[in-house]
Amino acid sequence: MLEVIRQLLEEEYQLKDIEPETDFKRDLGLNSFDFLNLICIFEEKYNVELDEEKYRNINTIGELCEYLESLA
Amino acid sequence: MQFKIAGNKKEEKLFLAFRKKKYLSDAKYVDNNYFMLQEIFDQKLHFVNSMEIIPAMILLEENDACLQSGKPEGDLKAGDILCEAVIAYTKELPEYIQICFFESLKDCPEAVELLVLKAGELGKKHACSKIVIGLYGHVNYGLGLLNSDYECMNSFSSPGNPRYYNEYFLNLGCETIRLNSYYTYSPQHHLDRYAALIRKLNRKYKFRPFDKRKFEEDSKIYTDLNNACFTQHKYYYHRDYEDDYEMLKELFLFMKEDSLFYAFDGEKPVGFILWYPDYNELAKPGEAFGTKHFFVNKIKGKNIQTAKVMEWGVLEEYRGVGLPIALTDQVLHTLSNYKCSRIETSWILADNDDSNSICQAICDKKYKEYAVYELPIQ
Repeated sequence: MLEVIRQLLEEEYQLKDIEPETDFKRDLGLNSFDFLNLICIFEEKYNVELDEEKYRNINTIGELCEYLESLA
Repeated sequence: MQFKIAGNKKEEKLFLAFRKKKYLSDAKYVDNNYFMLQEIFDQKLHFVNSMEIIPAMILLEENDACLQSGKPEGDLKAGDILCEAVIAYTKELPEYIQICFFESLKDCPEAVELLVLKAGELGKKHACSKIVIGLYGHVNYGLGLLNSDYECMNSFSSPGNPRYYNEYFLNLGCETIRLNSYYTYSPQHHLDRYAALIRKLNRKYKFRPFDKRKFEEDSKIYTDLNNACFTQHKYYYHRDYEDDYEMLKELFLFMKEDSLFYAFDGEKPVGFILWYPDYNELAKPGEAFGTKHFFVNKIKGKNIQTAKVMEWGVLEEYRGVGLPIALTDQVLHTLSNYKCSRIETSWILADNDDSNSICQAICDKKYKEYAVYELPIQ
């Protein structure tokens, strides 16, 4: 899952050096709308609908991966 | 110096003439409040029915030291106005006595101090704990004194005033409540970044402009959303349907229906955005905005270059999904019918993290600063 997220962030925002502990806001400078947009891109690409209540409080790449893996 | 209440038509005319002369001599800003003050004096505005309104002036007296000192400058004589304001109180905002529509000559801090002192005395009668300077009766009509960029003309409904107004209140020991606006030359460029989010929101929510054929019904939606969205706002207080019906009726003399968009979740209104072209581009610095500009707008309104986003609101349970981005996208689609290529936002309280984060996402830069002043009543 980490690779999927790395690829998305590189394609959309040209961001590299993504690790599980990377924080969307603090380390990548992404605002809350960038994060929501990333979720929407993931949903479109993989034809899923994610639960807003679950992803609302995610701060790091690792937390996002953990949530997405729990959906399998 | 003498504290005088403008208690009859003649004195109200003097009150209005003072600000007219002030704007003309400064020749920097458009007076967007002259018409509203006329309506307040003529008791035409519903929203002031629930308020106590006192048009107050500080007049020069024969034996005042400043007549000899030559300050303030100008050919002054006894009976001339040094500064003025509307002192206002409403039970809906019981903590505050308001000093609204403040105007003053330069170099007369004693006159301003007397005005503030008298406002405090009136506030005490209503058990107010603070004086607030820079609120225009209700936030829907304006908030703040200009606190930067004094050389730039004000956009429609934004304050324009010289720097020394702020210095008067700072020197009286007032606390400063900061606000700022934002500006962007390339709104579409910013929104393109959120294309996937906008696609999703457009699938989940319906958006439509105000419908003048259902004016009363749509006006009520605006009031209900305002009252629900802004309960935590520092100076907002409850509006009734007639207040906003009256305000929107006047705005729609200039605006088209696509200046107010609603967002719906099914049939439920959940958010809105209000914008309009910067009508001050139709006026010259120093003018009072009024009837003349209604006709100028008919001829030249299509040439206005800047769009002014006045306010947006989203119900609390729908925050966090990005609706302001989709509402802004609706505005940008509409702008293709206008020549507006730039966007200026209205004031935003500096501590309003949600609104500031939206503006930082879709604008190029912070723009003008504004200030509201508060002073405890001793």
